[in-house]
Order: sequence, then C-alpha cells, then structure tokens
Amino acid sequence: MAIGKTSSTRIQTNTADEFSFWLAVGQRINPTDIVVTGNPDESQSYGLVTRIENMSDSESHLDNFVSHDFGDAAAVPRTQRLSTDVARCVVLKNTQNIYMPVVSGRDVEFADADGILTALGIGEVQQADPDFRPLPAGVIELSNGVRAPAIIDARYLLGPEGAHFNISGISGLAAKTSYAMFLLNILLQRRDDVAVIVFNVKQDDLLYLDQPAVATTQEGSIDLQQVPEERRHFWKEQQEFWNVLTAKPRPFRNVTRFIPRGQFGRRGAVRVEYNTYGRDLVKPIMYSYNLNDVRDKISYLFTGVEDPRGTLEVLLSDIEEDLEDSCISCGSGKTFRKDLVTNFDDLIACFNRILVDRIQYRQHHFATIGSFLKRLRYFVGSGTSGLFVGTKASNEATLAHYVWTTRPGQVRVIDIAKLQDFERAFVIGDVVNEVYRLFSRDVSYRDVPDELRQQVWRGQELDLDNPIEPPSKLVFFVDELNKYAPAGKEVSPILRNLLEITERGRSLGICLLGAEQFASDIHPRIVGNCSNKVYGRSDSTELGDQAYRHIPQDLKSLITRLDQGKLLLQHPLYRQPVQIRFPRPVYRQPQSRRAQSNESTAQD
Amino acid sequence: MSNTDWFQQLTDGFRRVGEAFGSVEGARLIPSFSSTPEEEYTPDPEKREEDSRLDPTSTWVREAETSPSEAFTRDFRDSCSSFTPQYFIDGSVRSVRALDGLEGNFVFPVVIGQVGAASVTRNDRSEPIKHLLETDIVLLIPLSKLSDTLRIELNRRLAGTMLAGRIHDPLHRRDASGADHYDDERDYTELRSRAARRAKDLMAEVERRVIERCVDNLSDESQLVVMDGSLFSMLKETQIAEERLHQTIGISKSFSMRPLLLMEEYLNRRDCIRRLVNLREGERTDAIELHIDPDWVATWYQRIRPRERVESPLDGIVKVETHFADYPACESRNDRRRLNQSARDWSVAWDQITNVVYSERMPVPFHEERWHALLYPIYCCERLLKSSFLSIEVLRGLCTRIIPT
Repeated sequence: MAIGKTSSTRIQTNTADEFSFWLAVGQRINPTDIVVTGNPDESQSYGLVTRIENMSDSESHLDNFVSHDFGDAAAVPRTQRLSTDVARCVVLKNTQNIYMPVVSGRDVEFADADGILTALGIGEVQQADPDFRPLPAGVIELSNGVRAPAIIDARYLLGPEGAHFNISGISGLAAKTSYAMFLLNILLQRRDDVAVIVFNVKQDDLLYLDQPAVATTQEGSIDLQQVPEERRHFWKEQQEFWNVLTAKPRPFRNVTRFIPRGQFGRRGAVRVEYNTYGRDLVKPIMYSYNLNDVRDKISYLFTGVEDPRGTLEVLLSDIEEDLEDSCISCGSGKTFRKDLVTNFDDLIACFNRILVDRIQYRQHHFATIGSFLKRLRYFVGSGTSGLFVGTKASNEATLAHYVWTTRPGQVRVIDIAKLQDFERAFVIGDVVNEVYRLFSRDVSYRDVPDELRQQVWRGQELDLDNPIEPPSKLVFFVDELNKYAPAGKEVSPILRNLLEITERGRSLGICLLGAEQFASDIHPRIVGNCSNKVYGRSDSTELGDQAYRHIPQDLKSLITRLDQGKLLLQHPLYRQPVQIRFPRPVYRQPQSRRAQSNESTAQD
Repeated sequence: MSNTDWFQQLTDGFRRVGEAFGSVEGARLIPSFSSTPEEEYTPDPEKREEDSRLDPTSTWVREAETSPSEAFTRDFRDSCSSFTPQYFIDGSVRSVRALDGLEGNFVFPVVIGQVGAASVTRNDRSEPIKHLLETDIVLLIPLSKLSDTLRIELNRRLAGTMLAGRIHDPLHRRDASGADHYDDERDYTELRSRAARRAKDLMAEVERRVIERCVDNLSDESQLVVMDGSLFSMLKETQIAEERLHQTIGISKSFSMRPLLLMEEYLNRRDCIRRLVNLREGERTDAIELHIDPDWVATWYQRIRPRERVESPLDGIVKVETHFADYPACESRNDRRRLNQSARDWSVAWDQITNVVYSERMPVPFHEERWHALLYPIYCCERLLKSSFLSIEVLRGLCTRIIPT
C-alpha cells in the first residue's frame, strides 16, 4: 500500500543519492525506515528515511504570527494551514544498479522483509558471491511492523575482507555489553570455527553466560508456559526476534571462567580465595602471575605511568631483556654483579641494592630507577589485589597457557571486575599479547604444560617443536576499550598490541569486539580499522567529534534519542547505517534466578 | 485516462495544428513563445472589469439596509452568525503567447490558455480539502479572420483529437439572445488582449459550472458558497441562473469606488468614500443595492485587517456581494419599496455574513502580495488550480512540437 508519493521541487530536487516523498494523510513513519519506489525503467529504488519534516505554506514565522490576529495566541483560525509531512531518503539501492534520480509522483511503500535485504545490498551479494557468509547482526523493524534480519557478511567481521566490531554509546541505555553478547551468541551458533575470549569488567555480569535466563522447550524455543504471566508478552516478543534471526534463544556453551587470585592471596599468604563478584561458579579456574609470567611484560604494569621523556620505557625494556635469563646484571668492572631473580621480592631487592649502593645499571639515571622501584613495590606489593604472587599454588593457572590452548567453539571468560585498574590493564595486555603471539605462530606445543597439552590434544600426534595451530577465528571482547586504547596518548605497550591486532588481525583471523562510551576516546587507528560499528544513544557533543564525521547529520540526531535496545549498525556492505533491535540476553543476568532448561548446557 | 495518455493526446493535437498551417500555402507559424503570462499585461483586472461593467447609463444604487445607520458604517462583531461557509471557489487562467501565426500579410498571436476553477471545503479537523477541480486547455486563434482553407484544414486535422472544439476565436462574442458576433479586429496588440479576455471568459464558464455543482451540494439555507470575485461576473458573463446565486457570496479583493460615488449622490452625502477609508477592523459600510440593469447585488465593504497594520488605507478591505432570492430588490429606479416592511431583517443578515467573512481572515498567506484581502480557503483554491496547470516550461515544450520540423 502506498504511503505517499515521491516529490521533487525546484528547491529540493531528487538526486541519484537522495529523494523526498510526501506522506499520505494518516501514515506514520520514523527515521531509518526503509521504503521502496518504482522508476520509469521498471527498476525499484530503495531509500532509507533520514529526515521527516512538516512543511506548511507559511513562508516565514511572521506569516504564522500574522495568522493569529497579529500575535493573539488565543485566536483560533477557522481553517488549518495547508501542511504535509515530507520525508527525505538516501538511496540505498537500485535493483538494476541504475542510479538515475527518482522521478516525482511515484508511489512509495514500506519495503517488505525481502526488500529490506535487497535495500541493504545483501540480496545481491547473497546471489552473486558463493563465499558470502551471512550473519544476522540484529533485527530491522519498520514502522509498519515488518521485521527482517540485519544480515552482515561475516567476512567483514572475521576477515579476510574486513574485521573488528566497535560498539559505542552512553552507559545504561545503550546496552553495549548485551549487544556484544548477542552478537557472539549468534556467531557461535552459526560458526563452529570461532573461539571467543571475553573480559568480565562489571560485577558478575558475564560470569553466567552458560546459564539460561529463561526456560526453553525441547525444540529450543522459549517455554512461555513457564514464564510468569506478567513477563510472557516480553518473552513472546523476544522469541519473535529470535525467529526473525533464525537462531535459538539459548545461552552460551563450552564456557570456561578464569577468576583472579583473591585478596587473601597476597604474597606469602596461606589462605587463598577467588577475587570475584561471582557466586556459585561452576569449575572456575584461578589465575595469578608470578615473576616468570610477567618477565617479558613488566612494561604492561606501567601503562598508566607518565613517561614524557621515555626513560622509563627504556629501563623497562632493559629489565625485560635481563629477566629472560632470570638475572639482573649491573655495575661494571669491580662493581659488576649478576643477581639471580626468581620472584618479585628478588627483583625489588636487587634494584633496592642498586639504588642504595649507587651501582650503575645500564647507564640509567637513579631517579628513573627510583621511580620504577617505587611503583613496582606498589604494583606487586601493597597495591595488588592478590593477582601478583611470589610463588603460585598448584591450582593457580597461567592465563597464557589457556589462551594458547583455546579451541574453536570455546568461550573463555576472564574475570577482571574486582582487579585494580593497573591489574586489569595488565591482564588485558597479557591476553592480547598472547593471542597475537599464538596467531603469529610464536608459541609451540612444547610451551604448553604437559597436563594441559594432554587434556587439549589428547590422543593426537604432536611435534612439540611445531607452532601451535590456533583456531581459525578468535574474537575477544574488551569492554571499556578507551582505558586500554585511549586517543591522544603516547603508544603504550598494550595499545601497541591492540593496534597490531586491529591492523593485522584481519589477515590472521583475530577480531576485536570493543565497547566504550565514547568512540572519540578511542585511538583513531583502532576505530578506523573497525569495519563494523554500532552506535547506541550518545550525546550531541560526542557526535560532533571526528570519529562520527561519516554519519549523516540527520542520523546523528537520531542517535541522540535512540531508545534502549535500539542501535545504529554500520557495515561495509550497507550504504547507510541502519537502526536495529536485538533480543535481550538469554543467559542468566546477575539479578535473575537461574532458570530450568530442557537443553543441556555443556561445561568445559 | 492516465496522465501520460492525456499528455500524449495533447501533444498530438498541437502537432496537428502545426501540420494544418504547414499544409496551407501562405500560412505558417513563427516561434515567439513568451514566458510571461498574458494576464500580467493587464494590471488589476478585477477592478478594470468592474469599472467597465459599471456603465453609467445602466448602473444605479439604493440602500440595502432594513435599518440604515447615521454614519454609513456599523460594527458587526456582536452578531451571532447562522451562516456557515461550506465551499470556497476560485477560478484561474494562465495563458501564454505560444506562437505567431501568419497568413498572407495578417499576423496574429496564437495563445494557449489554461483555464480552471476549483472548490475547497474543510474536513472535521478544519483542514482545507479539495472538493472539485475542473481545468481545461484551449487554443485562442482568430479563426474568423483566417482564410476558409486554413480554417477548414484546422477543423479537419483536429477532428477526433483532444483539441477538437478547444480552439476559440478571441473575436467571438455571444449576446444575451444567444446570437454569435465576430468583431472586426486585425490589430496584433488588441488581438492579444482579446485572447486574454476570451480565456478569462472561458474560465468564468468553468467557474459557473463549479458554482452550480457546489450549490447543488448545499444541504440547508444556512450554508454558503463563497466565490472569489464579483457575482456580476457570473451574472453578466456566464448568464448563470439567478437562483443559483441565492446562497453564493462574492468576495472582491479590489474594487471600483463608483458604487460609493453613486451612493453619495443618492443619499445626498459626501462622506461615503471617506467612511470607507476610515473603516476600523470589525466595521462594514452600510449595504448598497447595486444595479447594473438588468442584474443586481446587495453589496458592502468591510475591513478584515487592522488599518494600522496595512500599507494603504484601502488595504485590508474586501467587497462582499450577495444575491439572495428572497431579497426584495428594487425593480426599477422608480421603485419605492421599504425594506423595514420586509419579512426579514436584512441588516442582521448582512451583519451575520460580514461576521462569517471576518472569521475567515486567518490564517494569512502573508507572503502573497494581496494578503490583506485574501481569505485563506480562497488562497487554497488558487494553489490547487495553479499546481494543476502545466508549467511554462511544459507549454514551451508543447509549442516546439506545433511547428513541423
């Protein structure tokens, strides 16, 4: 049914890229609705509504002032002014790829579900490209109720055509984490060659990914009979979303949780606890760091330390080089000495001695060494939450080993919610580094402890000197990305690794799924390398930043008023960002009860 | 018929006109398209028309008030109106000189005229909506001054086309008895002016048909049809049946002062025009029974905009005309009828109508030159008509197809 007719005027013409249409009386549309109109050559042009204006025959505000008896607000005209709603659209697609301007006076209709895919350019690629990898990244919902999956090409998410996904928006409303989890869930349901690493940064939000939020039937649909009446409508709509997405509303499978060593796990302490907000966690693995784990990553600890002259960076580089042999060499001639360093106490004692005895350490200034020592004492001593230890207990794992042994289909949840900021940065830097090393074939099977190797590659013939074969695709989700990849700062070791991954991860098969409140806070090279972007509600000041310059002004206005659960998705195949909705999490949320499910949720 | 078919047929008709000229020896068409509408050559046509209509020999006035005022002006805003304006009507014409015709040594303009009338009403939400829209496209050629050969050839070639019956002679006029007359005029400028006037007459015909259909749609005595312009244009130029104007009122944005001069003479007072100029918002003049034999209207002038808000003293004043069938109009200059003996208080009726007109003063199309005297629904009719006419560019395109290549 026609909802209006295309309109071109002397002042506002229809072009190859944009067209206008007036809206029939009583019709309702919204920005980002997708409409279709016919052309004289029998082709169809699809348009995305970007702006809706109400036009009247009043030429100026003065006309309206005069029209009320020269300014009498109580005056009521007997006739209402002629006015109409006019929508401006950007052309998304012409079915015959003929981009002639849309002519005036043609019927305009809402696109149907197939039409939406055609409009996005997906329909054509689907038919023409056998390597196309469709992945529903949300649900497009038009004002007339038509829904269609927002299909993206996974080759632009996981490589090789493009990679990475960035989600921005203010906290609370934007539901960035929920969307990221939805996307990962869909990805894991559709692809069996993908592994996922997730950092839990808020409370116990992501610690129950494998526990259902709602009961499901044998067929995998939401069991509405078991849902309280007042929530039934909500879950019914959620099921409809999943139906559109042709996916199942099930929680994650094959989830392993890594929990940091807790506050009673300080060096030398007898009692060890998990340092987490989580409760009732199934088979969590505790992780911690001793000096051996961090010897080539000491610099990650100093990410947030101001180092305007770069002296600290050079010192850290030298220390890391020395620690490869577990020794610190200092002095020269008669004063030369080589101290064995096996734990943090040794390292602190060694540099304390260098300072007290005024022994030269590779020409570094004592002030620099003092600064290093002061902070190191804090980081691994008084400041640590228990993550850094002198000696690891037998049940304390090294994260790097688990990163190396990540297999397709696995979800690794690394809890860093209760860690100090510098510890969080360290853990993320460590994981990113190890992921990059794994995919760069820098890690061999011999590097993996025997027991773990046996567990992962049981019964397989391995040449231990061969590099470990990583999963073909690995996605890791980093929330609050701005803390680890900030804009306008010097390049820290963690940022350097993140840049490596975003710039070269596409060809390696590593995908960064990052989320932050403000995309403007992120290093431009990180944002620039993200092929896919999702915007939640953001304020206009933020949207004025260069990071958003590619978004049309009308859509920016839309972003400022996006409702909860609505996002704007930008994908390389789409000519314009589209508004999407997505189902709420189907894994247990911290405040919810654990629900019964007929489907088994496998554990590691 | 779709728009495309209609336009194709129109193009075909124009092409055949060109072929007719091309087929007669000594006759040809010369490109001379003027993008300025012919109407623009005649400033303030309404006033000029009225001036020409008010022939001193047949024009006379009488009072049209049951209770005449001392001051010749009266406040009308306290009255409660029992009238409802149901339909608003406007006619429009857009004619352009398309070509020059040449036959022998006779040069004449070929004018394309688009004529039409529309009526607008209001929906439940007080929004203006289209009621009727009737438009036509005509060619104005002085057929009576062409050779028989060319005239016959034109008729032959246009037979069966869309333009058959749509070529009009600007020199033709029909008198009250229905007899046809053709003026003897060969002057190019006068022919051009006649063509524009003829187009206006054709527009009045369309307007009459629209008025008649609107009047037929009225459901009770309280409903009114409001037309733009003078009722005399209907009475004189279209010979509309008088009873069809019973519930029709005419609103004129510009007008002649002659009725007031006649009134001053009749009332033996010298302040009628001064009173008109000094009318305050919410005041009208006393009503005048204006006769142009054999027709009459009851008319008055009323101010719909505050005097201090308009540029000139006459701005913001409209002339209202009525032609109620039960109004006891004088039948001759010697008729001594008394309005206060009439069954109806006509002063009250005029006040009520005046109030209705005044209540239509908002909204204001302030960007229009004559905003101060324009009623918005009439303006909507105008917009409706103008948007349905072919643009000058399209007409120019049509003309290029008249001349055979």
